[in-house]
Amino acid sequence: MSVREIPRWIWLAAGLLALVLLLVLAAGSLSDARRIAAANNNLAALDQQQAKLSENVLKLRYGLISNYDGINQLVAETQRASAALGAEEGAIAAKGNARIDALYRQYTAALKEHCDHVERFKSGNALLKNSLHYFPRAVEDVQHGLPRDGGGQALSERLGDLYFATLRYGTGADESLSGAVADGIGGIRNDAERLPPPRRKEVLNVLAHAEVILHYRPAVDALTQQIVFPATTPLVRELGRAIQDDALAGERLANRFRLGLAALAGLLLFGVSLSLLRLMRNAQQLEDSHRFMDRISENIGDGVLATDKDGAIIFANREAARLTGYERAALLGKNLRDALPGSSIWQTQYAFGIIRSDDEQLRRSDGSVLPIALVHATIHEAGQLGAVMAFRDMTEVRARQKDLQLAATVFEHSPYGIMVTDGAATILRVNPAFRAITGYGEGEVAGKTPAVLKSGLHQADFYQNMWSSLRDEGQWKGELQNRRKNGNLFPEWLSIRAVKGKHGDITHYVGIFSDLSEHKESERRLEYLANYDTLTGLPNRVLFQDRLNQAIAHMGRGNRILALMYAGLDHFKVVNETLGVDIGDALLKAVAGRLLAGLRDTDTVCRLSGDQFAILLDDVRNVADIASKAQAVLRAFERPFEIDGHVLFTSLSIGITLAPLDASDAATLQRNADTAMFGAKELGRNTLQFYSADMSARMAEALRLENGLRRALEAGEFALHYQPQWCLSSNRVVCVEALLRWTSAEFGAVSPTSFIPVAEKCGLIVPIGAWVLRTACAQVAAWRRSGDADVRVAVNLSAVQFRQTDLVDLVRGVLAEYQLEGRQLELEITESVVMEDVGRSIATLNGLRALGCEIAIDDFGTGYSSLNYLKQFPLDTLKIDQSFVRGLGSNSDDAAVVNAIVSLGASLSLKIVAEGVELDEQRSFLENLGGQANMLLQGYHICRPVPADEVAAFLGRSQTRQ
Amino acid sequence: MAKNGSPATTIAVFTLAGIALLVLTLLAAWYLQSPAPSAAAAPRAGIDSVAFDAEPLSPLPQSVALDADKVALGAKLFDDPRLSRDDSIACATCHPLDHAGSDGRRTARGIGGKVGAMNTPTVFNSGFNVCQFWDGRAASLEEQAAGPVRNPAEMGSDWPEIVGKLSQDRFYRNAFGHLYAGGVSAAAVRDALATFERSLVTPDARLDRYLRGDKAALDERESRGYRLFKDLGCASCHQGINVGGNFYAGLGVFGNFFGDRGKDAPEDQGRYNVTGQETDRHRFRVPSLRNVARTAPYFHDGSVPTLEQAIRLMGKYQLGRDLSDDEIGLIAAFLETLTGNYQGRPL
Repeated sequence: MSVREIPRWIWLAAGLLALVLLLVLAAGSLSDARRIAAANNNLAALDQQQAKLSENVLKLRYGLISNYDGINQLVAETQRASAALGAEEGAIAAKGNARIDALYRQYTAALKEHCDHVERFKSGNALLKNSLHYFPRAVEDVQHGLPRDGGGQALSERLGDLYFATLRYGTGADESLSGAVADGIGGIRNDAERLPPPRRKEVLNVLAHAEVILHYRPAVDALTQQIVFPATTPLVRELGRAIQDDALAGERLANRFRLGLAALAGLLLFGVSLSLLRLMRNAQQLEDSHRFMDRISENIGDGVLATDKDGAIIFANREAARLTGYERAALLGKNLRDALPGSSIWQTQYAFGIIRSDDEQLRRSDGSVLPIALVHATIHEAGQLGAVMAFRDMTEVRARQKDLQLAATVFEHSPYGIMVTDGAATILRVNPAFRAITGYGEGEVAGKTPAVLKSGLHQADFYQNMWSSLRDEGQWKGELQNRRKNGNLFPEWLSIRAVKGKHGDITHYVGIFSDLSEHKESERRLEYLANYDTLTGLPNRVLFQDRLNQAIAHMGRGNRILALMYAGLDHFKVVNETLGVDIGDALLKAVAGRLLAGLRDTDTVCRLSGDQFAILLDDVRNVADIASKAQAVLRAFERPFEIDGHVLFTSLSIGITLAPLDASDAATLQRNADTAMFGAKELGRNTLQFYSADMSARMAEALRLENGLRRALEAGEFALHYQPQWCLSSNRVVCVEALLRWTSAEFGAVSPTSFIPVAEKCGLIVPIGAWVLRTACAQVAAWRRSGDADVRVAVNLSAVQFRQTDLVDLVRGVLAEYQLEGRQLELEITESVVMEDVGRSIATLNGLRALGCEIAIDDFGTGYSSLNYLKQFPLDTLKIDQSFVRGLGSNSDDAAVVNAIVSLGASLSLKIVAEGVELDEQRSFLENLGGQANMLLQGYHICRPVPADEVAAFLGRSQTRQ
Repeated sequence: MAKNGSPATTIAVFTLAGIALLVLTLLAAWYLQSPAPSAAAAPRAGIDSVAFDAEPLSPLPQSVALDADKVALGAKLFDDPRLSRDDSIACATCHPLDHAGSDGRRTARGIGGKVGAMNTPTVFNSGFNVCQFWDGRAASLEEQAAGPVRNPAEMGSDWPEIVGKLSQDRFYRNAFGHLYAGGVSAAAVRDALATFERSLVTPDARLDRYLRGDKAALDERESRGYRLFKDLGCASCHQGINVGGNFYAGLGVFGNFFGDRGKDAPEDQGRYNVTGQETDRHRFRVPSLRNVARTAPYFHDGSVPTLEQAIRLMGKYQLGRDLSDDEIGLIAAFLETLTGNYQGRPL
């Protein structure tokens, strides 16, 4: 409703109010008129009743009616009518008509008097009638009783005169007779004095009645006069006129109201019609505008929602329903928050002004989330806040944006140089890679042509080809030389694509190129990675193979010798394990450096694996050269390496094979070198070994032995022999050493020095060792049970066995199995085995000692034991290596060594076992020393190793012999 | 989005308002065009019923048209002692219908044995009296009812008390609820009682039959008595339908009644007690003589025990004549013919 229309409302309301007021007033005047009419009716009735009353009173007065019922009824009716009139009058008087009020008061007073007159008339008339009725009989009775004398006659006549006069007077209207009646009464009264009392009384009674008549007739007549011409009549008429006047005045007023009413009604009708017309026109406009708005909102392509101040949805277009997935009816009336749960659309509900957001989400009815763009506007409708929201599906836009972003990212981060030009080859955009490659930034080349990069190396027809290809095929690819900003030439691989517009014309060219110089560098790098050892920088096995093949091929054409050396770094594993891989790696690099330093440039040094290197000596003249070269390498390693504060001694074991002397193919040569290197290691390292055919035979023999060994345990081909140890201090055998013997079905008796290394190498030593331990313990237990011997048994543990983590458990289990005490078992381990990993060795030895076992170091003196370590080991016995004992008596050095060991053992409270005692002088030498220590002797001089059953016999013999 | 709802609604409202206005206008025009009240009045019915009649007496109607329900309710109230303070006295106590509507006592006896000063008039035909009570202080039967109810020497109650008592009675609540807009009320009780009392008519007295033309209804003595009644002027006062009861007359026109008997009490002052006018002293409503033979004792104070004595006194003081026994006998014989029937049976 616009402000302009408000006054019309007021006019209409005012008009209606006036209409109602006029109606009320008209009705008021109308009801007055009705009352006046009623009052008039009452007045007329009163008039008529008065007329009847007058008639009845006259009839009564003159004896035409003889009862009062009629006038009583008339009086009652008059009173009723006047009471009714009073009620009407009261209403009229209430209006303030003083004239009517005063008249009515006068009238009621007159009426009361009138009724009073009637009442008095009734009483008087009754008396008068009574006397008039009775008078004739009374006169007759008196006359009848009078004496018939003269006096009597005269009185009778007088009475007769009185009778007529009185009756005429009483019933007629002749006033003049009153004197006659009065005179008659007086005369008769005088005469009556003379009469006797009874008669006199009768006469006096007649006179009394005459007097009543005389007295009441004028009174009754007066009353009759008053009743017939009552004071009320003029008043009634006056009242009628007054009321009539009033009614006329009321009528005039009513007429005026009616006129006003009609005029007003017409006016209002006109106004209402006008308003209706305008309203209908407005409604039509409104509807048109609504339809227009609807058409806009339905075709705008956006979802449109409108909410009221409470957030309730009051409008939703078809697109809104489609996007949300809800029916429009389901949306309308609901709060936005409830209608679209999980959507961010409503979060702007209480914001002011216009908000645009491209990053909103809409949760659809099926639960899917739609990315939308939202325009939210607060609207003020009649002072209250509402909101209109327009939103659209951003799925495609978002996807396009993502594509664009991706493209931009590719453009920005592509390692390829990208250049975009317009159709005239003017540069529009270049990417960072372009700058990185050419040195030109976008600002420097934008607006120019790619000719800035021209190297000048290509002929004009090169470019003509390029352009024609672009024109015809839409693209060109090829390698060309360009010039960087700094002037350097560079090769590039360029791919140009023409971008065509709608009409087939070329709008853009996109050139993508890669810097081939860099590509070539990386190719080299890859090749290096494939062929070189990254740690040392030496060629790796792959390149080595290549070089070897090349050398072999090269060799075939001339009369030359090719030497292949495999050099293994001794004890490298120890370095790695004790000092760490980093130190190990540093050592390897240093080793590589020394190898290279000692060789010619034409010689090839490769790293084959971990600690193994290969050296290819090409074009050597003779074998001696090769040996001296190898010797030089070995010497180069005599100097210690200083790595990260550590001083490390290391050495090489070198195996050498020659082509074409040993073989002429790469594979055989490599195998030969490997064999030779292992040969060198077996020779005790830090040495070199040439490959020989014999070496190959030994290797084959070892293989056969290994196969035999695999079957030996199952076949029961092993047996133990025992060699007693003679205790010098107690002069008896206290211990026997168990020695393994193998009598193979294939090879016959095989020496332990032949099969033990093989067994150790292939791991068979573990089960074999366990068998030895169990068998030896079983034998000792058997001897104890039989009482044949009470000795300790010494069992050798190989290096592999010693490194088994379950060694202690094995020993504990065997001891328990044969109910042996630990002290009855002695375990022998070589010095070098113990020294390999000192920490672990100590732990293992402690474990064994805890079982009560005795620990002996075998072959003591051959290794390079640190005395410091020796102190830490939980040892019981040192066994002097038989090589020292063998020299006793002839070699003073050996005697000194033995002497030193015995002293050492004594100082460390260790038992000393001298092995390999075979000669008397050896025995006596040892016996001389024996006083210093707890010494035991072992060897052929005491007893050769014998089978178990012979041990007891020897013991018995030895006891008796000693 | 119009503030006041859709355009369609607004149009509908306006159209309706327009139509309403049009109708209102037409109504107003019709109303005001109705003829103005005329000053000419229609003649009133009823005046013609007062016919010319030389006979001073007229017969009672056979029945009176009344609301039968109100009559029945009034009859119950008439018999209900709850109209008295102590629930001991009903209207019928002093106006027993089986005893000519009067108690036969000299003066009335009220609650607690209190004795009043006035003789109880019969309730029969009381509706034809121009007013009620000896001194006419009640213009209607409705007004009359309040007298005995409130008189401490009679029922000694008041209207609120009676209305309260009657309201507790379910019958009365229903009956009054049906018959009267206001339910049980003093006005309704009075109306019901008055309506019932108007039904107490005793038609078919022999005189009435005579008056209606059945001359054989009176025997010779009675006819002579009637003639004497008229000749002596009795009918001057005892006249009309109720043979009296239609105006006031003084007692002792030809003699000092109260002086002669040596008693002139306040109750003897008659209408003077109502109007205070000297002319009204010793004036009483002329008593109706219908059923007079059944309503002894006589006079306002019940001081006259027999009809003959009353006739003699009337002759002496109202006529100045000492009536002979023969005359008294004739008149008495005539008065006997005024006894009518109630509910078909002679009173």
